[in-house]
Amino acid sequence: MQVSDLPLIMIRSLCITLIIEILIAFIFKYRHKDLIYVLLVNIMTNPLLNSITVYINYYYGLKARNISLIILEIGALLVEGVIYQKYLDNRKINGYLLSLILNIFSFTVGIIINNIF
Amino acid sequence: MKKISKILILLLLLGLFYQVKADVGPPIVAEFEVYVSNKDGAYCYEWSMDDEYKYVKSNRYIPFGEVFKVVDDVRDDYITTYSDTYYECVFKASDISVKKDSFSVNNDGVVKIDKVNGIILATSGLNMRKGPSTKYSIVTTIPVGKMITITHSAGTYWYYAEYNGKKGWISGRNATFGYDDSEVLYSSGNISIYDKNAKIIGEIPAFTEITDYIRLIDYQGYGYYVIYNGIKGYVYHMDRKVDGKLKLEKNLNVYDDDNKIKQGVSKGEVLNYSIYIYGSIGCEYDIVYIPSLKGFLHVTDGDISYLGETVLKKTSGYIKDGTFDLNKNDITTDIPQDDEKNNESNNIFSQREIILISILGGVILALTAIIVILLVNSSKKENNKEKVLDIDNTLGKDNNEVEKNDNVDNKEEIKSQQKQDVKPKKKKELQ
Repeated sequence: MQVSDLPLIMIRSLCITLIIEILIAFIFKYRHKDLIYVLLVNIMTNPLLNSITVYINYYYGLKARNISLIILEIGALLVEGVIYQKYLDNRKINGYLLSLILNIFSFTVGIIINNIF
Repeated sequence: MKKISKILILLLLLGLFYQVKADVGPPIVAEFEVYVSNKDGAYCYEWSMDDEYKYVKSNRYIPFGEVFKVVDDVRDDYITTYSDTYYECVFKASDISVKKDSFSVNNDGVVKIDKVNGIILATSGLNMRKGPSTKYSIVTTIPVGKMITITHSAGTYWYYAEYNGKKGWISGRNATFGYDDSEVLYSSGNISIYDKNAKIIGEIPAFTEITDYIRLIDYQGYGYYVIYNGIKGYVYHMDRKVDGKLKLEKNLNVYDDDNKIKQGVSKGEVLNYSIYIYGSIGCEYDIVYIPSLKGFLHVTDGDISYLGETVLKKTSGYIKDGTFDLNKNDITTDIPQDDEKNNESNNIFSQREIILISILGGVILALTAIIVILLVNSSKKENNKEKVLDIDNTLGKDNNEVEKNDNVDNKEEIKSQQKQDVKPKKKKELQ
């Protein structure tokens, strides 16, 4: 990865995450405004998380990046969970659990894509 | 539901574990798996700095068949580990064998680079192998003087190249090949040119542009093989020529070649610079050459702010297929126009600036998303308020009708019943 590719990587990562999470939310019968919240929440967390981990990797190395990634991902999970819990109309699944489910799916697909390409 | 949650948490932890290995930024080294093939086992070797500089056997013993990962980044016939299992253990190459006789460019630690042309300098030819180590089998041997195309690198010495339709790994150790670089070189001082026997055969004057050169890897400290004024030989170091702009944040002195103060320059002045030399260990400042003043600034943190820098690129390359003999010094080249366009790039922003801009972009997106979430939520509340008002208005109308109707005896009872009826209706609307 070249640092100059970072903006494109962020956009690509966000697009893939959005597609996966909205699809999974749709399968779980979330509709209309709830899907908009899923979209907004990922726009809020995904690009920032990616850019910060690249920054840490660039200046502090791989180990620091790995540790920060865990911390940031847990933080993002919680933030997304709060928003889902507070604002979603569909209350069938707990907001935090929904955040966990959606992020697991987007993680898994991300790993597969990274390893293939 | 509890079972599902446990499974999901487990998946999440597994996902996190693998995610930390995923390629947001590339791992540092290209490791490959080997096993101890010496039936007597293998020992770790350590670098001895006594009178004789060489590797000596240590007490660390690894038995026959043991599998671990290594990188081929050590001189001579030794290979070192990078993984935690046998950290910083150097093995004799003859004691170990690769587990699988191939190494993909998609492996961790392999870096894709802008395609460059290279030329084989090793007079007996250079082996192209199936992986980045002499432990991998040979694909073909590339004769001296032949042109190759390099597309990836792994570690310090190994490169993935293409020659005559074949692809594989070559080692640049001991300048077995040189490659064409797109930058314009610049001499910040007088630079000596050496022949193969380390004898000085010429000199490049200060502030001279050099475009006829190939870059060397690991050749007795020489960085380049250059052609200047008909003289062909090796130089240790050259700087890159840049077109940069900076702004002075303090009053500074301008120094000449002999490090004497020539003149002063004032805070706020904007100057063009053509060389930027980072201070080496022990040096307190960086050196910047200002062509308009024909002098150098000595700068530390906070003295200047960058306004942008472009590295000057060559317009043609210097490698093509042909006979190349170091003694005859015969290099001529032209990179085809298409390759030139691919190699050219104007770096408006530095890498640090790109990362910071990306973080800023992330922050702006996050704030925008938060604002939109709040707006969406407040418009939802507005809609609900209107629905409640509608219901209240309806209730008000109903109450008025009851009041007007003189035939109704238990008006208060009816009105209170209507109020009770509205509550579930309100709740339903709000949902």
